[in-house]
Amino acid sequence: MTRGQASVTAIEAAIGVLLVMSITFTFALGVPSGDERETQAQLDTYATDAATILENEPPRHQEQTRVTEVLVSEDAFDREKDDLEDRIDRILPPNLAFAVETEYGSIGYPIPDGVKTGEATILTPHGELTLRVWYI
Amino acid sequence: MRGQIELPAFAIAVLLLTFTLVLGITAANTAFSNAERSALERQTAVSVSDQLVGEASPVTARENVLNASAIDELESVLEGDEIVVPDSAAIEVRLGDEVIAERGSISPASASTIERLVLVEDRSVETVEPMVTDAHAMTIPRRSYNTTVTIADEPTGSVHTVRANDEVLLANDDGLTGTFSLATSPQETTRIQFEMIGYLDAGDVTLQYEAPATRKATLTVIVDD
Repeated sequence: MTRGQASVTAIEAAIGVLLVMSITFTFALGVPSGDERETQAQLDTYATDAATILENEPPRHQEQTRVTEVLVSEDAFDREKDDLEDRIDRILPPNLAFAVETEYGSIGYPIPDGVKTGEATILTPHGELTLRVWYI
Repeated sequence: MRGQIELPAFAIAVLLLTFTLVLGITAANTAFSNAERSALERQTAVSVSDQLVGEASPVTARENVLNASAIDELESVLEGDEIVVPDSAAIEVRLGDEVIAERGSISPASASTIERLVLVEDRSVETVEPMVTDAHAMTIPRRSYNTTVTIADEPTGSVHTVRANDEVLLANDDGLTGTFSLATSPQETTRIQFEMIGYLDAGDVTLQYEAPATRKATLTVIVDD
């Protein structure tokens, strides 16, 4: 009799504790952590910086800039893509991988599933080039 | 009878709940205030880095291209008005692994860091002594600045016209001697041609220009509020 009654209160208390803990954990885990947002912002910054540097590079043959030159035609793209890949590889820090998308094809590495990427787009008179970077 | 037995258990239960509640609220509060503080700190780091690598920055040649000669002055630039840094913040700027400017002390555990990709442009003065003949043109690369030509006074011959991309820049029928600056465009490669009488040895004509060489680097801004 006595034991049964005491355990009801104990169970109530336990449920109460669980309730409070669950609310606390919802706050702690549900709110996206600052680190995650910072990673995203940093990746976007990397992509934007690399795009800015590329955008201001002089061309090798014709047109106004390096990127415009690459996007002029499919032939130009095929001719320049290896060189552009080397160039982007050199601009980015070693802990990043990249993928470039243009209307003529892509350069770089395939993007792994579920990875967080930073993105920047360069507009040129001949089309646009999208640069994506991620941590490896 | 029932009530009296329940009382101690009830008291313990209330105590336990209160304890958990206090613990939970404290944890939540700390988490929130941390997040808020680091967001502000981060904002400061981002804004300082934006100002540093922007086109209007006192240390850049172009957007995201730092001037190698201006890097040493970065410390004084941070003190000045050109770049706005909150007075309360400790800040450290690194180029690669090297600390190039510092104010206050940073504790790595609580600081916010942002990395920017930049190029560092170093302008080195290139000197060439072309073999000057009528037929021989010499080419200086795109993005060369402050081109000058020095022509020695030699009895064997003299230069009377200097052209850049077929445009006459200097001309004197009696012969040009001395140092002249050439108004060449950094936007295109320039062919420089000399028209002359007689002959000049290699070294009698000297061309100088500033050629920018760039290397990539990472600019790190660390802010601790």
